[in-house]
Formats: sequence, structure tokens, C-alpha cells
Amino acid sequence: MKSPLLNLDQFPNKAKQYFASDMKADAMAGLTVAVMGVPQAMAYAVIAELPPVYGLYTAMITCVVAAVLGSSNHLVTGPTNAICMVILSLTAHLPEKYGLDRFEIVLLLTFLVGAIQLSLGLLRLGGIIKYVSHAVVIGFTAGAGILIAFNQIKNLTGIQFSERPEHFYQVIVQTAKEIGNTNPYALAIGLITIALVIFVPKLNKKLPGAFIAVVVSGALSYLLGWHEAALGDNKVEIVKDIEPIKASFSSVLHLPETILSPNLELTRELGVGAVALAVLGLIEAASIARAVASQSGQRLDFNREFIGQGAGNAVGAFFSSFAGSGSFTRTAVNFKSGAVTRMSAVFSALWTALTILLLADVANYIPKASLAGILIVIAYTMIDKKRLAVTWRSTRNSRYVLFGTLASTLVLPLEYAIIVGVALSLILLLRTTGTTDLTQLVFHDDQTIDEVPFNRAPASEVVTVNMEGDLYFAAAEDLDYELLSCITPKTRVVILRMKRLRTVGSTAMAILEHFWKILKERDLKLVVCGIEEDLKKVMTGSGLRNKIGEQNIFYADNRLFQSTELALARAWSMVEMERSKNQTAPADSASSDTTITAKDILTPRLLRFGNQHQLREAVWLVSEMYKHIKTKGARKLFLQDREGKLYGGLNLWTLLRELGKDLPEQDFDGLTEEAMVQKLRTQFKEPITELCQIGLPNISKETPLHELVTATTQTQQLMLPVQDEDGRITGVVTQMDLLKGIAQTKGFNPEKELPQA
Amino acid sequence: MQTAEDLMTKRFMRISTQHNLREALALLLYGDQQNAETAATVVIDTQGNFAGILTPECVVAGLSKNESTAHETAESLSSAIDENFPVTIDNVMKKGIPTVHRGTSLAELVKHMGQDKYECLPVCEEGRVEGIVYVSDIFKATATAALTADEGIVLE
Repeated sequence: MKSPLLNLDQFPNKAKQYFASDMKADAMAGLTVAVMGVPQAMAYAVIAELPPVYGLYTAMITCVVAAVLGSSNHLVTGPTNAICMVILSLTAHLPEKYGLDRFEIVLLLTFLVGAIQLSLGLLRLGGIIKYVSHAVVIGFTAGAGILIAFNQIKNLTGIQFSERPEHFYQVIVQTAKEIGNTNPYALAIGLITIALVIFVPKLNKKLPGAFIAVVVSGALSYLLGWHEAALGDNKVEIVKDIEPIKASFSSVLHLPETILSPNLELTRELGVGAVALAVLGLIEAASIARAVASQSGQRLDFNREFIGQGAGNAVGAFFSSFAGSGSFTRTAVNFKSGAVTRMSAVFSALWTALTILLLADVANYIPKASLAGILIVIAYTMIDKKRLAVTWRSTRNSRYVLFGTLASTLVLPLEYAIIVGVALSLILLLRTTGTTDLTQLVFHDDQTIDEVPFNRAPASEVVTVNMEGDLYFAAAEDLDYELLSCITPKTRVVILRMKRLRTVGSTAMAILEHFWKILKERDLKLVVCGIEEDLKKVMTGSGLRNKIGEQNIFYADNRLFQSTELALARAWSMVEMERSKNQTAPADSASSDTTITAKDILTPRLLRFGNQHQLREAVWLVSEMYKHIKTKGARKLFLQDREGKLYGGLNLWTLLRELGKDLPEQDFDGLTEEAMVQKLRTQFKEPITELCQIGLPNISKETPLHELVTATTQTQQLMLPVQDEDGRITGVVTQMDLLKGIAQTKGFNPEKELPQA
Repeated sequence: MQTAEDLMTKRFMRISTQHNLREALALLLYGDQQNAETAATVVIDTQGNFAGILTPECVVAGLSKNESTAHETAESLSSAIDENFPVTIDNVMKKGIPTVHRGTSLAELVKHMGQDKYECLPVCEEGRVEGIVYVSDIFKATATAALTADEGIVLE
């Protein structure tokens, strides 16, 4: 019963806290954003060829809704240059066709965009945003910048087009044709604005260049009377001429006919464009929010951001606002001015509203040429030369996406440019991730490893395949058959190294299981290594782990090729087991030769290991080995150097002595299990070269029995390593082997000689 | 913590101190054919008490023993074997092996193994051998204890 009350108590506390500390910072940041945003919002409306006042409404309504419902604490939503360019491209030709007011069409478009964004957010598809390459955003923004710059030459020079251009090249052609009719007053105002926007911030970074520029140029044209109709064709067009800004909000709430009684054909025609615009808006907002979050440390929920953007646009459509998105410049200024919470964006909207109320008359006298000047400067900064260069140099795929998107913005209708960019980045993403690259690893006797193209490795009993990339359904097709192609008649064991695999799905498990089955039918063994935690889970879940068998699975370690080496040791021991099984029969018949030598009695199965390892790995390998042999007798681990030559031997007693080095000499009852484990592990990192016994007797396959016996009694070696011409160990002679040899020389029949009980 | 009782093997081969090397050789080879463990055979004295351990190494050393401890020829070895066949086990077996109890802890077993290369330790109660703990079993238990808490390596 207590908790709801507590919550109610806490709420005013939180609010009080906010009023006391963060509100001032947010209000100041909001003011900075508004001072910068008011001229921007008006200018962006000009890009869309809409009355500037709607830009201001968008900077208020859409901004507040998106800020409150979105995820980012710093994102400022409102009119943006690229979106406005697309709005123009989508709607410019429609009013004539449908006989509707263009603004009404824009509102329908805005509503559609909002609805699409809202559904994507509600369907929790926010995660898809990360699959869109950043190169799309950079390429598209640069392309839009070029379009905006050329489009604004008309406003900067005060010329009029005789017919509406549909394509970029037509804009250039028309501009070139009319440039002779330049209005010198408009051009002067525009150039003054550009100069002020560029140079004012250079005097002091905190000065709002665009704000000062529009005020100064507006005042100038007003004082000189350049806005008066008396100048005729040379009159400078001002905001009031487009649509006067009124110091009231009576007309903000506007229910567009196009939404209330929709024209299906129009809606359908806007459909593709609305999807593209929605996606563009989300990409923009998400990438800006992500950029700020990377500095603020906020964890973003893209689903919520989608919902915020969608709601902003959907609601905005009923409040005379056109489609907006996150604004990079305003968001950056907001964050840099010390905004703490999302309330700063709300404050920026309030300040904008206040500006309309107080300064509507001033704003009405801002010349269009001045707004065009601001836009040309912005357009120049939209072409992010540095990022373009970096992206261009990064990867070939980024280059394709960047160039493809940039080129299509200039050639295609803008909405298609977005689709092309997104499609390009998805296709290239799928192309790189949708494959599992196979290579083969060749392990040389000198411990070096070669990675060779698949199927190019020399035939060997053990085939090691390195799998790299993604292993989900798209990539897994035919993989089992492809894997099979590496098997030669000599192959006995296949090792799959899966360390570098990503995204392994259930389809992949089915494929691997099929591969395992085929191998089993052919009496071949499968060993897998480099298994990471994720893969282990999938393998366990699919039952594949049990099928392959724990003794044939080697888990990834921090050390490169660690698990591969263990897998190799396992594979070769299986090969040798098989070999010795096949050899036992002929070995007996060869005993007609009277002198018995090492080759007649040796055990081919033995445990070898590189000498560069640490105690931990040796202990692990030996304990693994004991799981697979029947004898409880002490076996020796033979170490070989990098060239594969016998280096020395490590016996169980040495391993035990090292493990037990830190154990107490007495009072074992006081020792807990935990303490013991700790003490056992203290020597784990010891290199085994220092522990092993070197200078083992030199035995070859031809060494006769009497020399073997002499060697073992003189050197106290229980297991004699048999070396080939190159110094590699090919087998081992145990004490039991010697006894069998002795029995052979004496023609001894053990059953007849058994002792009586 | 595990104790000798957890690790010991109750089935093992036995031989008496009074048997000879010929019989020991036969026992080991026959045991090997029958898949019995030949790594260590418990030697019992005439009273039935634990006397020592016979390993294949003891038999090889006992059979090949001569004055020079080296064999230059196959014949030399062959004649030494013939001479040594009647030697009794109490002359060749490994003696002085520490005996342990059912309750002896793993840590103590490890420490014993550090003293000499014992193939196994007998678990004795009142002089009778109840079972033997092989060095390999001590090693396995130690390795498992040391490794399971270790990330990256999984033992069943």
C-alpha cells in the first residue's frame, strides 16, 4: 500500500529538483537553439518552396512531440534541408495534376511519413537502422547539398523560371538561361548575408551568424526601401510577400482535407515517396542521435526514437507542420550549449513561439535572397569533404554505396535516390555477410601454419578447414557438400576450425549435422575446435554437441590456435589408433626374424606436444588422453621442438610434483578443496621446457632388444621414444613391450607358465 | 576433497614374494592378453600382508640383470634371462612404498607421489591391501580439480 504513495510523493520532488538545477541549463540551451533555428527553419521552408512560417511551426510542434516521445535527450527535431529537398521533389508537380493546394498535399505526405515511422517503431524494427551504411547518409546529404545550392541560385539572384524544372539538369539549364535577368538588389542582399554568415562566427564563435545575418540584411533592405513595390521587377522579395507571419497561433491547428477525406490516387502516388522519406528521416534522426549519444554516453532505444519521430510527423500534419527529422546543426548546438534533458528541445520550441509573437513584424521583412544566402552556406557545409574522403578510402563497398547514392541524388528523383542508397548498402551487406569463407590450414612439422585456399592443401590424413564469416541460412546452403570436397582418399579425420564464424543459426546446425552424418557413413571422424560460447549454446541446443562427442570438441581459448593444436593432437591420435588397429595382425607374422628390434615391439600410439606450451596445457592434454586409453599405467608426454624433433619427455610424476609444489607438507585435514585448487594452479604458467627431461636415449626402429633393455635399465626410462632418421618420434617402447620381446625370444607361452595360486 | 577411497581400484593382480620371475613374466603377459591392468601387481608375503609392488619395470630389470648391467649382444641378454628366471619376487619388487588409508586426502596422495616414481600406492587397513591408487588416477583427479575452475577448458 505504501509504494503508490511513495511514487506520488516522489514526483513533485523530481520536478522540484529539475526546476532547481537543470531547468536553467535547458532554457539557455533552448534559447541558443531557437536563435539559430528560427532563420534556419524559415530558410528550409524556402527549400521546399513553402511559406517560411510553416518552417517555424514545424520547429515547434514536431520538435516538442518528437522530443517528449523520442529516446535521445539531445536530439532537436524540426525542418531539415535534405527532407525539405525531398518534399519539394515529391510534391512539386502534384498541385496541377490534382488541383489541390500544394501545402495540403505536403501535409498528407507528412502524415503518411509519420504513420510509417510510427509503425516501424511499434513493430520494434528500430534495430534495422544499423544495417544502413553511414555512406548512404554522407552520400545523400552531399547530393542534397549540391541540389539545394543550385536551386537557391534562383532565389539568391532574384530570377524567376518560366517553367517549373523537374530534373536537376533542368534547374541548371533554367538558371543559366535566366541569369542575365539577375536582380542586383537581391543579389547584394544575398551576398551580404553569405558574408555575414561566414565571417560573424569567426569574430566570436558564440555569435549566431545566421540570426545576425538575416536581421542585418532585413534591416538594410527595409531602410533602403528595396522591398517596396515601386522598384518593379527589381523589388527584393521578402517573407511577407510569400505569406505573412502573423503574431498569433489562431491558424496553426489546421485539419487538412487531404487527410480527412483522402484522395486514394494521390495517396497511392505519394506512397513510395513517403516510405523513402520516412526511411530518410529515420536514418538522419538515428545517426544524429547516435553521434550525440556517443558523446553524452546515453543508451539509445531506436524503437522509441522511431516512435518519437513518427508521432512528431503524424501530429505535426494537423498543426501546419511539414515533415521533419533530426537536425544535425541544431542538435549539436543544443548539446554544446549544455542541454541536460529533453526539455531543452521543448524550450527551443517555446522560444520559437515567442519569437513569432514578438518579432513577427521583423521576420516578415527578411528578404528571400537572404534566406537563400544562408542556404547556400549550409549547402556547402552539407558536402562533408572530410567524411567523403574518409568513406571513399575505407572499403570498396562503402565507395560503391557512397558514389551510387550521390550520383542517384543528382540523376534520379530524390525519393529513388534514398531507395537506391539503402538497397545498395543492404545488398553489399548481404554479399559480404552472406558467405562462409572456407580455407584450409596446413600444419608443418616446424610448427608453422599455412592458410591455403580451400581444396589446395596436400592430401593428408587430417584435413583442417578454417570457417570464416557468417553461417546463417543464407550462407549455409550447400555448405555440407562444399565441405565434403576437401576429403581425399587419404583423409581419416576432418577438423573444422570455427573460431572466426559469426551468426550461426539453426539451419547451420542442420547442415553441420548432415556433414557429420556423411563423415560417419564413410567412417571418417569429425573434430571441431575454436568453439565460442554462442556456438556452444547453439550446438548444445541442437543436440550436435552430443553427437560429435565432447572429446572431439575443443573450445576457444584466448591464445591463437590453442584449441586447434589440441584438436590436431586429438585427430592424429585417432589416426594412429586406427593405424595400430590395422597393424596388429601382420606384426605377429613378421616374428620369423630371429633378432627382435624396436620396430617389432613398439607401440605406435603416443602422446606428443609442442615444447613451447605451459604446464596448464600439458596437464589438460594428458588428462584428456587418459579418458581415451584403457591402461592406468603411467604414460609419458613426449615433447617435440618446432622442427618436430624429439625434445624431451615429461612424466606424470613431474607433472604431479609441479602441480603440488605449493601444497603443504602436512596437515592436509585443514586444507579446503578451494584452497587446494588455488594452490594447484599456481604453477600453471610454467613453461614445460624447463620441467621436461632431455637427453633421452637414442633409439631407432632397428635398435635390437638387448640394447633396448640396456638403455632402459641404465637410464631409468620407462618409455623409450623411437625416432626416425629426422629425429621425429614414431613410436614408443614400453616396459610391457620389452617383456613381450623377451617372451618372444624365449618362445614363452604365458598361459602354460602361470603361477599357482 | 577426494580421498584414497574414491580413487582406489579394488581389482588388481596379486603375486606372492615366493613366486619367481618366470611366473611373474607369465602373469603379466597373460594379464595383458586378458586386458587386465599390468602396470602394478601387489606383492603379498607369506602371512598375506602387503610386501611391495611389482611393475613391468621390475621384471625387465630383474630378468636382464648381470654384473655389468649392460648387454652387448642378444646372447648376453638371453643367458641372463635364463639365469634370472628362478629369482624370487621379493628380490626384484619395489619396497618401502608408503601405504595409505581410505581416508587419505588427494593432497596427501599428491605429496607422496612427489617423493618417488611410485606406480601406485596401496590402500591398507590392518596390513591387508583393500585397493590400490594408481598414479594416473591421482593425476586425473588433480588435473580435474585444477582445471574445472578454469575458463576456456571444459571437462566432462
